[in-house]
Amino acid sequence: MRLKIVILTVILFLGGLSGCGILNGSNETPASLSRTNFALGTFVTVSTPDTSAMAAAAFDRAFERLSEIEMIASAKNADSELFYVNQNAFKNDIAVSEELFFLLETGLYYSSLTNGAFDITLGSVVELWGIGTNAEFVRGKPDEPEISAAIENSGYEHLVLNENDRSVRFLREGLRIDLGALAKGYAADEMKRILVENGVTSAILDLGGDIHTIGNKNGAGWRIGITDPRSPGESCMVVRVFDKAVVTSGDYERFLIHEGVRYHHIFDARTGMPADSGIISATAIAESAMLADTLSTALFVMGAERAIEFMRIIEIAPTRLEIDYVLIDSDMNFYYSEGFYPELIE
Amino acid sequence: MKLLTKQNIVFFCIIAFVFAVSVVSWFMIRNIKIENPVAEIYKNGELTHRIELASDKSDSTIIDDNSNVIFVGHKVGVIHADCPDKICVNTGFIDSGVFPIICLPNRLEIRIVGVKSELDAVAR
Amino acid sequence: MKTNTKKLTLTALFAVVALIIFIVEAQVPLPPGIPGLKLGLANIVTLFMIFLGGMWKKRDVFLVLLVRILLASIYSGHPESLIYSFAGGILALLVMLAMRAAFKAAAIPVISVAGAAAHNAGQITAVMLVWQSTRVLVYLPVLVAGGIISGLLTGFAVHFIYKAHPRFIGYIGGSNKNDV
Repeated sequence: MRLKIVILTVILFLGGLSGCGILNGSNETPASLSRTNFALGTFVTVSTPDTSAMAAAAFDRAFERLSEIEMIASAKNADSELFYVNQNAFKNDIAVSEELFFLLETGLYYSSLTNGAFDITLGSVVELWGIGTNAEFVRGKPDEPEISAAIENSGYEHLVLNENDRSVRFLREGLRIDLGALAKGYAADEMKRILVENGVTSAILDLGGDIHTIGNKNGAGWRIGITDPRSPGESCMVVRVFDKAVVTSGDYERFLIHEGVRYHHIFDARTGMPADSGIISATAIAESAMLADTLSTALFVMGAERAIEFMRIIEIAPTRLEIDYVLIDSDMNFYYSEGFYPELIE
Repeated sequence: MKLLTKQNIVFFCIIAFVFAVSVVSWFMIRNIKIENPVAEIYKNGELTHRIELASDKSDSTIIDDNSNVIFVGHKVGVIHADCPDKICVNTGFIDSGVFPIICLPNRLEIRIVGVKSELDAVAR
Repeated sequence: MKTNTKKLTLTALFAVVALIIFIVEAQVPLPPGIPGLKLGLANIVTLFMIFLGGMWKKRDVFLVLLVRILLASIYSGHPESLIYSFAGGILALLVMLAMRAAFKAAAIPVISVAGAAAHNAGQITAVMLVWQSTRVLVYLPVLVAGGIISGLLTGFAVHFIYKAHPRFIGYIGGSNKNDV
């Protein structure tokens, strides 16, 4: 009996021993304020090391702003302004709010600037494939005629904006606007603006993987991981940014698998199919999240060669936007903008 | 008091088991690697320095707290100590692993902590 | 109370032997970086005395241990190491006495290993209390493994002393009932 007690004690002691030894790598996280809401089809999280009441009030206003943008620019929300436009703008001039007009104008500008690599009028293609919605499980890959019809109903040249009365008109009946590759970036910029106006000097915003940052973190840059496209649970590199947005478009994020082939959610306007440019992940780093959001999609669709050439042209443009990018192709080759050196993770 | 009674054999088995577990967990603990190491220097239980270990060998700092002289470069180590046992100096230089450099007499502890898990966000 | 000169002399001798072993042990090179890891050979005297019996009582063992620790800390020169040695030494003694009381037939090496493990556990607990940090626990496995080795060494040494020299045990006032 006594022996059993001794054996039991020894085993308990050992359990404690092996447990404690390994588990006590104390990683105290500093106190911080963090809030998450669901909006624009994804989870939006804002965190700041500032725990004051002022920061909490700023969060309230920022998330209010997020809901406003959702009610304007979400293509899926049946109560949104964009949804109404999509239903009614064929051969009708629909007057829209200043904000939606700005988004459409910007979207149209980038659509033509990127020669359609980025295109806000791909709504019918997006809807047809239904990737990221429940429809994908029912339909699988659409047929060729369906895809051709969807391409017919796409193209930014069929969207007419009239600046004088802020109206929108579609030249194709099936034209559908999808601001998916723009609205999250815009929302990030707007939330950042509200937070800064309300006194927040250091914060990080995560809109479903689109990252925006305010200021720095205790003097050091924000460390942002870039998802490894072939092992999406891990990061393959780290970039340090101050006050900038980091947005990645990848083929791993949302996709459907049909007869053994994987179809992702970023479409090429010319084919109506998921873009097959050889690039599987494109990251853009810029002061504006909307710009980063747009460019990451455009570079992904362009492919390495076109993308690098395009970025060179943008760079010498009079705007002299400071934009960095990282492209990863399907052989895991990395392409960086000049003078940009992220930390690679082996 | 014979050695090989039934009770003693049980005891020796327990001892062998404890020994095996200790050795195995020792090797497991030893093999923990830390990426992007940061050296944390504690004096009397309080954090006094927190220095990212350099990724190249050119950058180094010497910290002298009157009882220990600490070198921080791409590795960290105690190069001089005024205590008699010199355990901290004999530990050598570390840049990874869970084993701290400890100077018991001077209540000095140097730990390596990783910053890999400290990504602020991940872009997807 | 009659002063027992023989016992007094032997007590001093035990303390000196323990101290010499302690000092010699300090010269033995061990894997660096592991504070508090000693072979624990000085424990051999404590262990030897526990099994003596006869005129040797528990308080004599305590006395020799205390003298050894105090003298050793003077030699090593740091008051804090006194706390660690004290915590280790006393816990080792208590555990060995408890083991001996609980298991009359337990072999000397078994009790010795228990003592060595307790010695290291006591030291590491003292370090944790003084440093207010659990970080040193990463050394527990190596201290336990080292303690087992040194415990076996000292245990078998004492075991064979008892087995080979029963008349010597009787001469220094130990019990003759030790049928090791």
